[in-house]
Amino acid sequence: MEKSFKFFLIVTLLLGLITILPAPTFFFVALATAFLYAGYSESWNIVGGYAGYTSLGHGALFGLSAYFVALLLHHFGTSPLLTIPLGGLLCIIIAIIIGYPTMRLRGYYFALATLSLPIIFGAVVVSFPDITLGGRGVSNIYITEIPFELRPQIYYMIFLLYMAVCASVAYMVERSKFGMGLVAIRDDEVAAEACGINTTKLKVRAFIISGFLTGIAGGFYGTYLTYISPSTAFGILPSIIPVLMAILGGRNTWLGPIIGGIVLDLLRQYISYTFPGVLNTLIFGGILIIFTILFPEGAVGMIKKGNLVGILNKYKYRRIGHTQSR
Amino acid sequence: MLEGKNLVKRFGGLTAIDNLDFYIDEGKITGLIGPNGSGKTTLFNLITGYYKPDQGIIKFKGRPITGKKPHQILKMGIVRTFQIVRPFLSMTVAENVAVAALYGRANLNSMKEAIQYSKKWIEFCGLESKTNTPARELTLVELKKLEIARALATEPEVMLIDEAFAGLNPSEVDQAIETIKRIRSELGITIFIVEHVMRAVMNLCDHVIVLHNGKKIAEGTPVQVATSPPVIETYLGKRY
Repeated sequence: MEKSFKFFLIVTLLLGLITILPAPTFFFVALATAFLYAGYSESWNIVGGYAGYTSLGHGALFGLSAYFVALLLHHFGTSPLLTIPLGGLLCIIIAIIIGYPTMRLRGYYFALATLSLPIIFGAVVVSFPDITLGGRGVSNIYITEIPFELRPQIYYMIFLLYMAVCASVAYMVERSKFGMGLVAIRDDEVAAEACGINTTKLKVRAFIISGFLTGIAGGFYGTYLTYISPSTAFGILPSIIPVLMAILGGRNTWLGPIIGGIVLDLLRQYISYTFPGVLNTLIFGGILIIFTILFPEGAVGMIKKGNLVGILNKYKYRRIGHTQSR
Repeated sequence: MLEGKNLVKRFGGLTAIDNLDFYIDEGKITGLIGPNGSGKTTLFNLITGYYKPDQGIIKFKGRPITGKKPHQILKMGIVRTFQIVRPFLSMTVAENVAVAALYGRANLNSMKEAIQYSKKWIEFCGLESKTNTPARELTLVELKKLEIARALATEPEVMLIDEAFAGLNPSEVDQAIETIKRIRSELGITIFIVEHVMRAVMNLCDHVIVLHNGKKIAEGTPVQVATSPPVIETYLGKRY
């Protein structure tokens, strides 16, 4: 096992043990969503990172599972503890159905095709208000098994565990024959096929793993918010956020989306508390742009290369007016 | 061993392969030459499943392979290299070759085994000093060697080599000729090679097929082909 992964597991364990201590509630609330997004971003990374298929439509699976859980609870009173795993399975089926046609496309075309998915799903939800409750959304989604006063701690634990599972899956994928095949597909799909890789099978398998983990995240997220609507479930944000986090943290590495997810989500929360109103989106966007320019390969990619100092120097020189060849 | 009958491939109005028959003997080095655009790479793409022929059939060891996917054809024992090298740029040399060992006919399952196994082929192609170098740092010559090493690691019976010598200087060409001779003599792999460097063709091939506008215009030993009137006419014009 790699040192960094061992370290990650130890940190995760310690973070889990903190729940015994009387830490302030905001600590759990703030970190819970950060863990959720880190894990979600990691699920995206299996398709978007290793296989190199930049999906802009994972929000469709995320929202679908959230809606599935919410509606079964609303109509039949089924416990989310049962329906969340089923939501994951539902996402597997959907991943197969949308994976086969969309993964024949590459690059921008794949991104655009997947981008349309949450829009379609959202339109479907609005069009059948008898079943889906339409545009006003579904409220009162609770896991009744969780005692109200322990909600922050328990969700903190659930999302921490979820993140650890996603990171472990990615870690194993990265070191497996399967992961090697995905990277080959990302680098050159034609050459991958010439090496004997059944590219279609591998890509769809990646989508299935990614879809299942995304579905689990979506299911829990609905119960965490206790309310979902077409705009929260199928809006642009649930699709874009994991992509941003993975890219800025460093796609193609198991650690990148974890770091990107936690850092960006905490940053977003901090900015939105400190600067109320429209300003926070502006500042957050600005920070994202700066990050992207500084770390084109993601934070982890930069640290691995040991280029952090080099890149800072480059900017210093540029400001002074020295020109560099690159 | 590998044969095609009445092959036709059209791209819109252009007939890239026009009613072509070919036959490749086991253990031989067969050359495929012809002017640019004569259909050589198209033929390779047909054999390896990247294109489907509009008509005709391709058989390998008596079994039809037309309509199969590239990865299925590879598993049957036909591997190809690309005219424009296609390395996995984010991987090292060893990892590139390991991918072929994992998914090719060796069908290994563990990364460790595959990396170990790949060493043999990296050495065979003379790349051992670059084993752990990322592919993106290699020169063209090294990339061409890597392309061959990766193809060998799939454990093929037939190897289709598409212009392995283009862009190499004369001494590098000599080296590459030696490697290809060794692939046949030491590994017993049948070779079908597209080439423009005539010195290599004359030196290597047992048998040569000449294509022009998708049709076979001559066939035979290198000397026979080089003296055949239709070939001279195609390359040099009627006056010669």
